[in-house]
Amino acid sequence: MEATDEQIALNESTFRDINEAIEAGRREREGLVPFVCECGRLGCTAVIEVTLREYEAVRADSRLFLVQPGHENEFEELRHEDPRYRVVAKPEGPLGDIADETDPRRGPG
Amino acid sequence: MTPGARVTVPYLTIAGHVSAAEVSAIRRRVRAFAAQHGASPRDVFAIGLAVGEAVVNAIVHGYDGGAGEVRVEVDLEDGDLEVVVADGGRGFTTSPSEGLGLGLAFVRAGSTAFEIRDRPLGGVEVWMRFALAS
Repeated sequence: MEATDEQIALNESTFRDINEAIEAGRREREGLVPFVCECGRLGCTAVIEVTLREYEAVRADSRLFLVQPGHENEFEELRHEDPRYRVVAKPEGPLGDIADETDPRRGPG
Repeated sequence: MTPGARVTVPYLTIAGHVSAAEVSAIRRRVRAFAAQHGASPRDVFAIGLAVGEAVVNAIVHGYDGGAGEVRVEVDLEDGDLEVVVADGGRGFTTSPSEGLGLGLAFVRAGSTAFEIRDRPLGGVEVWMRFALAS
C-alpha cells in the first residue's frame, strides 16, 4: 500500500516531534548532532548529522523539514542543499496546513 | 498524616543484562505497575508498547542487537507515570539502524512527553511521561 501525501506529511510531523525530543535531551551543544530523517516514508531509518544552529534554522519555519539527501518527496520544494542534509518545504494548501497545525513550537490558536 | 512520617513513592526498577528475549517480561512488569497505580487498560497498553519499543531501541541501537546493560525506572510524579529507559551502549550515531525512527514513533505516540538524552558516561536514556486517566 502506498502512503498518501497527507499520510507522509503526518509521518513527517511525527519525526519532527522525535527530533524535538532529541534536541531537548542534548547535553553537548557543540558539533554535529544526530537527528532522524523527517522524510516520512515508512521504513526510513536514516540518521542525519547537523549542528544545532542548522537544526534551529529548519525549526524556525513550521513548513520546513530536515531530510537525508535523496529522501525529498515530489510534492515538496527544495530549500537548501548540503552534502549532509536537505531542507524541504511543504507547499501551500492542506499539506502546509498539516505542517503548521502539528508544529509543537506553535502555540494554540 | 503524622508529622515526620515517611512518604513512600511507589517505584519499580528493572536493571540487568538484557537481550531481546527479556523485552516481553519487562513490558509485562511495567504494564502491571501501571495498572496497579491507576492506569486505564488503554493507558496500560500504550505504556507497555512505548516502554517495550524504548527497550528494543536500547538493545538494537545501543548494543547492535545483541545484549547489554539496560535500566528501566518507573515512578509516579504528580499523578503521572514517569519511565526512564537507559543503556550504556554506543549512543545515538549515524550508523544504519534498523527501525530507529519507527520505534521512537511508538514512544512519541504513547507518551504525553518524552526526551532522548545523552548519558554523561555514554549511552542514551529515553525519558517518558504518561498522563494517567483520573
